[in-house]
Amino acid sequence: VAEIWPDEGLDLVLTIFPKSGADLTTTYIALFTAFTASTVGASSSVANDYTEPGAGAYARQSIADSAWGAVAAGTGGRKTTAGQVTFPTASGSWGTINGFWIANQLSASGDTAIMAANFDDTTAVPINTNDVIKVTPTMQYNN
Amino acid sequence: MTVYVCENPTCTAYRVGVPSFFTDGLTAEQAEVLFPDQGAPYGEGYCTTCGQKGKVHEKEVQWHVGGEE
Repeated sequence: VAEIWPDEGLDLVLTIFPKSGADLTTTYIALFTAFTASTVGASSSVANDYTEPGAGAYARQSIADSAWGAVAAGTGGRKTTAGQVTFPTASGSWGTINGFWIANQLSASGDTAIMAANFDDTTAVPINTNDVIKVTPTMQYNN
Repeated sequence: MTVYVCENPTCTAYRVGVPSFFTDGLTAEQAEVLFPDQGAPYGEGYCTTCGQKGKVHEKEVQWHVGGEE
């Protein structure tokens, strides 16, 4: 499994702390069809590189800041896990999903990829009509 | 595209206090398969998970599809 905080995501975090920029009270979980089930983008990758399903009822889902759980020990760092997110029932093919990423806004226009990860079991998930995918996102900072 | 929000508390995609977003809408084929006993309406704006009519949340939303921005 691979995960990454791309440069633009780190820039956003550093803008919030220590630079006292505007906080994000809501983030958005998106699914990506780019890369593979065990790879994500490079540090220089941007939101536009994390291609998403384009139809079939797909939509990014919101995650309120309050949905993230208690901070706990991770693997080499500290982590927090949000509640399980259920994406809408697909009304057509979404292609093959290789992981999820967190965006700073609902729409793609001018958005930022904060972090991205494959699924823990590194399984690519083909989504077809009437399929439902549920994701429990975890976010970690390493020491 | 238009993003709709389903506010049906019995929808399996519903989370308390959190909007459940979807685009497009329930297709005729889905209505027949998922809700065969309901004779449910379908089409743009009908939740693909529960079949109830959603509300417009935001119009002209884009995703990153095929490298488009």
